[in-house]
Amino acid sequence: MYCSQVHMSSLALTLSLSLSLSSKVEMEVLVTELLKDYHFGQQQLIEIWGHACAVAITKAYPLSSLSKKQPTVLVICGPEQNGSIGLVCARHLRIFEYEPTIYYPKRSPHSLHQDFTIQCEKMDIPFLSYLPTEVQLINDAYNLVIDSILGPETDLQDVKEPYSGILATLKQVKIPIASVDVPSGWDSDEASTDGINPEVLISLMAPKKCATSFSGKHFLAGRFLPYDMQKKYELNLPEFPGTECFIEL
Amino acid sequence: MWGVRALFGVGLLVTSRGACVRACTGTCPRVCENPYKASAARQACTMANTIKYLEFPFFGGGWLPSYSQEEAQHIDEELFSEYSFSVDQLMELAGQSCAIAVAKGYPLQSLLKSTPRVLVVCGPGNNGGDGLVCARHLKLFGYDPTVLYPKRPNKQLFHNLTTQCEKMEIAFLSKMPETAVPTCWKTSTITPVSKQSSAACLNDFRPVALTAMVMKCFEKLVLSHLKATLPPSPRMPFLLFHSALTHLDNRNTYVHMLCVPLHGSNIIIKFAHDTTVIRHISDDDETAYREELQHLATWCSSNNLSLSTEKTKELIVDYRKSKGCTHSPVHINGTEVERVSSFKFLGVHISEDLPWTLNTSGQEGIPASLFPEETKEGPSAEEIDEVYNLVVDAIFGFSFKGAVREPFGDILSVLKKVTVPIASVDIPSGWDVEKGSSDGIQPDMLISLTAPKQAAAHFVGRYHYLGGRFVPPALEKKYKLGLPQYPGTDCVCQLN
Repeated sequence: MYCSQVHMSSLALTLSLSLSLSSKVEMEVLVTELLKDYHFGQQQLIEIWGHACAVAITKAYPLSSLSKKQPTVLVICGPEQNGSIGLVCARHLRIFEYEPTIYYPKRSPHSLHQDFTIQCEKMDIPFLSYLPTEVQLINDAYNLVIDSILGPETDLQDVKEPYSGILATLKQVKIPIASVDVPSGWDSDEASTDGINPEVLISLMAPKKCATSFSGKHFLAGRFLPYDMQKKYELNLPEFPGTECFIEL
Repeated sequence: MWGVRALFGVGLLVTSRGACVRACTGTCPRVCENPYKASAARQACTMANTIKYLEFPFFGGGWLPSYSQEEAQHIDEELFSEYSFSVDQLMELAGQSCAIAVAKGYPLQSLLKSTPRVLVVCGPGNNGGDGLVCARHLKLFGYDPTVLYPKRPNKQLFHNLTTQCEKMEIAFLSKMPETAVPTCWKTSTITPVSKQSSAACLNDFRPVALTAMVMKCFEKLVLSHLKATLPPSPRMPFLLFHSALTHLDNRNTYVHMLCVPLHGSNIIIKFAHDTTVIRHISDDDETAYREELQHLATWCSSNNLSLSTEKTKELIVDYRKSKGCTHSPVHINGTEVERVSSFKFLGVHISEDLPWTLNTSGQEGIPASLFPEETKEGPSAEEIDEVYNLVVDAIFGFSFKGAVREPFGDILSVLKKVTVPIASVDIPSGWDVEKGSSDGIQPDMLISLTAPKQAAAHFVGRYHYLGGRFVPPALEKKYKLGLPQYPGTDCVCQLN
């Protein structure tokens, strides 16, 4: 039948297309729409993302697999949204019985993000006042590093101290790095040349273009996008299993 | 390890409904050593002496403390003030746990009806907000939730949650006139289907309906329902008259009624659709009317609909004593439209002076109310049993006190009669937060949020889950919540 033939070929086409990758601009437009038309709140979204990140981390690095005696994790948080997502992730990791320590050098001035800081402090999560430049100290103290410094919204020309210093340190650590959304220092649209090399990447909502040159474990986290939006932006997201909020790609 | 277990000295063993509860006041709790932060334990000791609460047994062994309404409110306040959590953050986590608990207790494959429909009843407060978040997550998990939300608080948070649900195409029920048809029903993708294997011309394609099938069926269903509730004399033309007559109340006005049948020609697509254009004219200004007709003609031709001008009739209702001008005929596509003094519309005779005599036998004028009576709030128990697999009760939470205000009294009495399982969020609605209720609704599942309340001791359903996994350890110690270990990264923990 004519109609069914057309249907089958378009289905095959969708399957052959792997996950579509989003550019920085598309992501910005998508998030703006979520906030304005769908009336999601910023704190709500950050909570969803942070929680999903934490769950993905526990899948990638289960408590039993951690090599050190204590399940310590270093979470480095940047100044903007990516940093706040890291704060929420740290809080949930604490609930999941990890022992996160946060390094948050430049705190965001927004009151929304300040709340996240207080929540973490009240969860008895220690905040470091400085990051040791001695890479060996980091390797010895922590099982892994969660990089939530710079997100896709960052303008790479603008990266100043202390972040450039932190990124330099991170390039030398031996313990695994898990990056939130985009590996910090990578351009979200292009492949990276000499940036940090994370073992795990947790894309939020949809993978970014730079994910093509990522060769480690790739997770997609954050299960809340309305179907309308998925169709509109042609995200071709895979089906999340059961009630999980993340999926390994 | 967290497991803060508080064990007490002598307590009173009271049996009620088969569930054992122990009522006791704290003396000195034995607290497990916590390597991460052990100093807070001593602080917890003093708090314990002032809190009075019940313990009840839970699956996995041990006794779980449960809280009074006041304590639950203190815990909540502290989360928002000292711990700086925001309501939307915690509501998102709470609603998500509820959805996960429902998915665990009633997995998609186990549902009896062919569609995974779930009714979520949301109350006027935060418990309702939890229900809205739960509905949204259930939709993402593949269920088909419908929300009954009769009383919506006027706060931005709830407006936002409602919008998020509506945009996920979750249907909302409140009163009949407010129910909105989902937009996806009103849109359709037109795919021409060819009659033969190779289509040579437009006529080789099957007729195409511009309205989605769903909408057509829906309209038919609504029509049959409306017909059943309407009195014998048809009211649809009333709307037409009502609008015409209210306009005519103004000075120097008259009304054009154009009845345009649109037929497909043999060449293009066949369908029939009658359109009526009513134009209220003030001060002899007919330009807008004529422009509109022009637009109509253009639209029709660009959409491959051929306007049958020969069969179009125009009727002018002009009550003015001195007619300002003689009405010149209108033209559609160059052809003059015939003016008549009466025609038949939807089985009703309409004529220039809008009398009603041809259609009524002895009845006077137009009835006062032009709309059907308002239907009752919400569906009945039989309707719920027939359509939905389960009901999520997110009406009242732990701050509920006093008498149940309408329309929730009716809703609760309907819920008492349904046979499909009910899953209650935090507290079975209508129950006293501490004492429970022997004649209230009897849910099959209870999802306690943060910590169980005392009413949970009276819960006799199959599933009791604990949800809302966001309690900071310091808070847990302070109130000696004694929360059980959540499995892995799950946000819910089964208690029975």
